[in-house]
Amino acid sequence: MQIRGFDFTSRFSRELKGAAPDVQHAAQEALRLLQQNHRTVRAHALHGHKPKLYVLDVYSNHSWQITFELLDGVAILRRLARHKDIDRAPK
Amino acid sequence: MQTHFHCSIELTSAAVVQEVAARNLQLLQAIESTVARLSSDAKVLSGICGTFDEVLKALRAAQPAEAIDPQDVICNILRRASDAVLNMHARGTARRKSAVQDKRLREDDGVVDAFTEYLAVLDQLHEVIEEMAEWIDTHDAALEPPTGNVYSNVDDLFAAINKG
Repeated sequence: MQIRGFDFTSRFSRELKGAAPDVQHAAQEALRLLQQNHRTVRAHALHGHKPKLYVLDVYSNHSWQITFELLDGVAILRRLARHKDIDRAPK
Repeated sequence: MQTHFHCSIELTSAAVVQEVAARNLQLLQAIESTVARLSSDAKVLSGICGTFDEVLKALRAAQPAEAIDPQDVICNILRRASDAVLNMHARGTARRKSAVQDKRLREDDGVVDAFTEYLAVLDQLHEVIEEMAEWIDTHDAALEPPTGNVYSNVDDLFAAINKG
């Protein structure tokens, strides 16, 4: 997955600002590693979404996740939330 | 129920019987009114729950092309309603516990069952209110366009978010 840049929705911005500082920091690192295509970070696609919606784990225990769409190499960041909230409403 | 039995030692046997009977009657009345009140409240709440369900179904079927709650007014009200239901649930749970511990009550009095039923309806109501808020939030978020700016790295991205 090649990511040339990022964009975000206001929901992502709101959720990021509302998250605890350690979650914000971990999210930043997860996105950084995603862009670097680091082997420790992998996003997976969710079924049934058009355009394709990906989930990225913020922590290795999957407790927090980021969802995004990938359009022309730009990751449109949709949500930052707990796993159960992402399961309920990924966008 | 806060009824307590206590007999004066000066009472004659007949007076004691009368006193106990009167107390029993008070207890039975309290049981009856508690069960009736809880059943009535559960019925009203169940009706509200049904209305929420219908509105949610209608929204899902309609899939409005425009944002439903751009100013977050509805979702804020729903969140307040959800908190209110949680408070009612906490109070109801404490009262149910008190009823379970009340030695004057018998299982077939129906007080504990009435509280259980009332709490179950509150659970459903809380669930449907949360579901509606989440659905509206998600619906509007899916229509939300991104900023249109592309940030080539994570540091620029976070700087832009924190600035906004």
